[in-house]
Amino acid sequence: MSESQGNDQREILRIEGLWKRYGRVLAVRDLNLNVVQGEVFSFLGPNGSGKSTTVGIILGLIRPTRGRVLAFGNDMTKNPWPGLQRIGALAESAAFYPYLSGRDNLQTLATLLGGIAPARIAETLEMVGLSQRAGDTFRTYSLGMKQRLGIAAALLRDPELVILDEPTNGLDPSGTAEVRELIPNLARQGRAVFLCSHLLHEVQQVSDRVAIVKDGRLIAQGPVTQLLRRGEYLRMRAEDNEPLKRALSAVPWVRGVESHDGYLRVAVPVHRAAELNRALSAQQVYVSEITPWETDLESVFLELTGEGAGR
Amino acid sequence: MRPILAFEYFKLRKWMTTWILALILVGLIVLLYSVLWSISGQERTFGSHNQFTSEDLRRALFLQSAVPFSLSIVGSFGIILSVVLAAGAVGSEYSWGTVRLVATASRGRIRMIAAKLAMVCAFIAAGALAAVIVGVTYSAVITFANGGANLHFVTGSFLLDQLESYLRTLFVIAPYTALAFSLAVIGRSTMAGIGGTLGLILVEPIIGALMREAGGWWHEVPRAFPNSNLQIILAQNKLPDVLPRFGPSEEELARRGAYSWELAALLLVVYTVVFLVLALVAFRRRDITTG
Repeated sequence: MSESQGNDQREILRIEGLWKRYGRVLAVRDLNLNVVQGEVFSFLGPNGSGKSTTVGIILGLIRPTRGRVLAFGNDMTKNPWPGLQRIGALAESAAFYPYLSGRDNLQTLATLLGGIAPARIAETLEMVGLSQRAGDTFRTYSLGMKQRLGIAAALLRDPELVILDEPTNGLDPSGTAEVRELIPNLARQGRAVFLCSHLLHEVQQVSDRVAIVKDGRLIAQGPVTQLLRRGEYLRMRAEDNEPLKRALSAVPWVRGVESHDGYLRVAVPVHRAAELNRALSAQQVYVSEITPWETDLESVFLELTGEGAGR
Repeated sequence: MRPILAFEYFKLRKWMTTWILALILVGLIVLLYSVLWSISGQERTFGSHNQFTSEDLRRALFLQSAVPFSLSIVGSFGIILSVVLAAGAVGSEYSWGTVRLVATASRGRIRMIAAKLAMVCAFIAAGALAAVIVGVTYSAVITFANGGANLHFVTGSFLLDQLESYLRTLFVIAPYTALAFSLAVIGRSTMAGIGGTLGLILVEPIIGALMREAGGWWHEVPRAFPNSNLQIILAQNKLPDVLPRFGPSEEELARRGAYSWELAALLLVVYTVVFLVLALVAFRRRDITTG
C-alpha cells in the first residue's frame, strides 16, 4: 500500500451528486467521492451496483442524469477530452481490434493519442509481459493476455489517473500477483489508481481507501483500516461452547453470537474483552481462547451489501 | 483530425472484410466481361427486337464503353458492397467493444464518427476506381485481341464525361451508404445497418409498385424514393444499348414520369444529409455502450 494520504495530496477525481437513470432503473444514486494523487482507491459493489456505469461516466462515455465528475478540475460530463488526456483506463474488458497484433493495436492507439514515442509501446508491452507475443493477432490471445494488453493500453500515455475495471479478470495466479504488485507501484509513482474488482482479498492488499456501492448507492467509504474496524468482534472458544453461548446471551451488552467452525463470533468490541471474560467467570463459565475476530474486507463487504445472506 | 484519419485508414486497410468486398467487386467485373465476351463469340442476335448482333456486343465491350460499363456494375452491385463496408466499419466497433477505446482516445465524438465516415467514403471511392481500372484493363485485352486498337475517341470531352460518370456513380452510392452507416450507429450493430438498408433496397420496388397501383396521390410517392432517383442519375451514364443495363434507361424513366435529374440529385442529397445528421446526432447524444 502507498503512504497514507495527507492533506497536501492533490485531488485528481471528484464525483459530486452523481445520478444515472436508465428508464425506470436508477443505476447510480447521489454518488459522492473523491480520489487523490498517489492513492489506490477501490470501488466495490455486487454485480449491477453501478460500478461500470460510474466508470463510463468518469470516462465521458455515459452521460449522467444529474451531478458532475471533475477529473483534474475538468468537468468530464461536459468536455471530457482535457481530462481524458491524463487518464488511462481498462474499462470492463480489454477491447481491441481482433485482426491486429497486440503491437499494432497499441501502435494505432498511439497514433490516435499522438505524442507517444515508439519506445513507449515496447516499454508497456514489456511491463505487462507481452513482448514475446506482441506480433500475434489479438484474436489468438488468451483472456489473461487480453487483459495484459488492456493494462498496457491504459498505461500507454503515462496517465496520472489509472482506472482499472476488473484488471485481474482471466489472469492466472502469477499474472494476478504481478498486477497486485503493479497497482501499488503505480500509486508510488504518484498516480492515482481507481480500481474496480470483485477479488476483495486482492483489493484489501493494495487499496488505501475503499468505497462500497449497492444498488447505485454509496453505503460505505473510507480507509481500508477504518472499514475493517467497523465490524468489531471477538473470537471465543470453550471446552463446551453451549454453556458459553448461554452465558453470553445473559450478558446484556453482547450484541450477538454466531457459531463459526468451532468458534463463537461474539459481537463485542475488542476493548471490552477483559470485561466480558470477567462477566463469564462470574457465571462459572471459563473460555479457553479469546482473541479479536480478524475481519477481512470480504466479510465487511458481504455484511454491508447483504450479499452473504443465504450463503 | 489527421491522427484519427490515419487511425481509421490503418484499421480499414488491415481489415480483411475491406479486401473481400473489393475482391467481390473486381470479380464481378471480370466475370461479367468474361461472360459477355463469351456470348459475343456466338452467332446470334440480341435486344428486344433482335436489333443487335454479336459484333455489336463485342464492340460494346471495347475500351470506349469500359468506364461506364464498369461503373454501371459499381452503381448496382457496388451499392450493396458499400452498405456492407459502411455498416461493418461502424457495427464491428460495437461488437468488438473498441468503440469505448476510440471514444476515450478521441478529441470528440463528432470528429471520431466523421473520420470514420470520411475514410469509408475514401475506400468506396478507391474501390470504384479499382473496379474501373480492372474493367478498362479487361476491355483493353478484348479490344486489342479483336483488332480494335484505336484510341481516336480519347478526347478532352470524353475524359471529362468519364470523370462525370465516376462522380455520378459515387453520388448515387451515397444515400444508401449513409443509411447503412446511420442504422449501424443507431442500432449499435452491423446487422442493423446491413439488414435495414438491404431490406429497404429490396422492399422499395415492391412498395413502389403497390403504391402506383393504388393510384391517386399514392401514385406520386414512389417518385420520391431513393432508388427511383438513383436510377435517374445512373441513366445519365452513357452505355451502349446492347450491354446489360442494371436499371431503367432514360426513355423508360421518361415514360414513368420520373423527376428531372436536377430534382433527383437534390432529393438524394437530402436523403444523404438526413441519414448522416441522424447518425451524428445519435452518436453525439447517446451513451457509448457496447452491443
